Amino acid sequence: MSSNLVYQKIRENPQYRTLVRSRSRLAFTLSAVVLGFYSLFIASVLWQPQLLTHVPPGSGSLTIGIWAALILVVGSWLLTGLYVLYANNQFDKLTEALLKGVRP
Amino acid sequence: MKLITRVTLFSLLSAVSFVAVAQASLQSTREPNITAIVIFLAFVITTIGITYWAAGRTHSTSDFYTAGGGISGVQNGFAIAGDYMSAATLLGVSSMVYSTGFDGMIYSVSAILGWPLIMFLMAERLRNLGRFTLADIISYRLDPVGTRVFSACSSLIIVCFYLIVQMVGAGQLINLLFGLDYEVAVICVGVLMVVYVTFGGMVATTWVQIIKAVLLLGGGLFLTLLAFKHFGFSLERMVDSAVTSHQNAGAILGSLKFASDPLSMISMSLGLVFGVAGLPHIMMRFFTVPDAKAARKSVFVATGLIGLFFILVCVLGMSAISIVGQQPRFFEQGIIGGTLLGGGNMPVMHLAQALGGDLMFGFLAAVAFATILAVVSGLALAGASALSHDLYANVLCKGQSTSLKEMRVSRWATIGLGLVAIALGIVFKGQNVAFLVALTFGIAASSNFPVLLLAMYWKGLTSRGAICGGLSGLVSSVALVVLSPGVWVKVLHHPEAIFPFDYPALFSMPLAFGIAWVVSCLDRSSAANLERTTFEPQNVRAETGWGANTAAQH
Repeated sequence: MSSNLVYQKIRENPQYRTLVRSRSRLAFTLSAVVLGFYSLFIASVLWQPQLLTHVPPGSGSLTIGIWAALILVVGSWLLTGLYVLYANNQFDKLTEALLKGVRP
Repeated sequence: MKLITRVTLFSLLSAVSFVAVAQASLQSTREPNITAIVIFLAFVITTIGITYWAAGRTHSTSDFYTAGGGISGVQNGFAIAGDYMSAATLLGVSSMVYSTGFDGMIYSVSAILGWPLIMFLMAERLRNLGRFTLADIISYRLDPVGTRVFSACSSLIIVCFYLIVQMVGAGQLINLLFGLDYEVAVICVGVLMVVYVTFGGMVATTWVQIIKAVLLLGGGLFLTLLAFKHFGFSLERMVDSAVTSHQNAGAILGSLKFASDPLSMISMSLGLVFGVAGLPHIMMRFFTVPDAKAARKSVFVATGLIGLFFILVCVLGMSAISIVGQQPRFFEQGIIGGTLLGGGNMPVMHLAQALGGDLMFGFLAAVAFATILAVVSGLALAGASALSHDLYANVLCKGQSTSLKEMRVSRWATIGLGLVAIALGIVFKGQNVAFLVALTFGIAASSNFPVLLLAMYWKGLTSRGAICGGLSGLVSSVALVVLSPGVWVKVLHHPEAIFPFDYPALFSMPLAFGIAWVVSCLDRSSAANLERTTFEPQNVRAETGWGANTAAQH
């Protein structure tokens, strides 16, 4: 089978649309979450600086700003882990099922 | 490669490094640090050994550019981290935290943030569509000559600018730490880089990156542990004593510099966040793994390591404020708060001296040198692949070249790049090259990144749109940096900058996207129509990996 035929066949499979839709939904949601929190962080640095230098109770001298930076770094990493989990469990299974249909 | 040539070259090389070290110990202005020299020589000997081993496994273009696609996800994660964590980051960001506190942390967060985005939007697609270079992806359904020439040229420009930064940094650092002449240091770095890449290709480069990543993180962790011990393992006490010792006191917990110039800061963060996704030496690492699953795993590992690295760097910078900033021996003429010995980038080196004595200082110095070597090797390989795979094999020979010829060209290209790097390093001696980092990330974010993202996600992108958009991003980012305070005032000595910001991305990146969009929409040629219809098949491959290049069998 030529690859163009294969591509045609995969596209006609309803599971392909499920794969594309669920992957892009997850990818765009997670990107929006990361960029959203980062923009909030940058916006507060620029326009609400006193908020970031505020020290939450029981945190000694660690300001909200330091906590926010730490959470952004660690959170970004955890979200990449979340994506890997989803992809390994769902997307790979869908892909495998799709490709089984076209393999000679 | 013939055995005899290999043996001759390796012995020649060892001779060069020993002569260099001998010269260093003879002419040194400061006491030569034995630990630094021993650790550095051990690194060089190990990596040359690995290169020798890798040379025996590099038979085809696929071995040379991508290690045959046989690197595992975890290995590639370490190698990506090794490629991204440069000596400039270690020294520069820790000194930013040292002098301005929270601003350094903002920079660190921005430098991390590109990685989750690469994971969500690019890693799998890069692997499924790519082969050897970024241009392979961009020209997948677009004009194979035009888009390839554009992408190869913009990658080469990025590689050259980044090489200048690394070479100048290497010369200064080695001169300072080992007492070696600036020129000798630059030549040593250039020669070692050429040897790693020409003989060992991607296999050797990958292992150099992995070893360097482990050394850098290990050294950083140990130094952080020593710093924590100094403060009784209390982060609070570390921050408290930083606040009491810093001349700006509590102000370092807020933004001292960035907040005063919002547009400049936004421009900087855009460049940092999206620039990573346009750096050719980083993106090409995704072609070294067998499949999309391994590509995902490598971003996960790399993001964790890079995140850890930036946290360590911030902690080190923070503890240097009270530890280094209070000891007269680290300042010129012993004046606390004056100029730091060796310049503003040295707080973390002084911290190593203060906490771990000569041993720790020597170790960190050697690691910093190894770091530079690893980064320039990755750059050289990316540059060589743009020259040989894109410009020679695909544009000049129209894909009719043989694997053997292409390999020969790529080796000569590496040697050529080595010479260019040495020459640029010497030409730019003593220049302030800080602006080049902003420029590299600015160009990457405004030329490679928009074209790559649109090629992967937007059906409507045509060849004309890609080339016009990418070129306008490239030209505008270079022009804006030339007119910025960093070049117009500091390098060209004009009284006032024409463009007020050091970072161009806020303007050049939207410009690139906008022009790519407008030109693509206006493009009514029949070629453009064909390109639009071939998007769907490309997308099937991007989503499922069907037809993607698989790992070579060994």
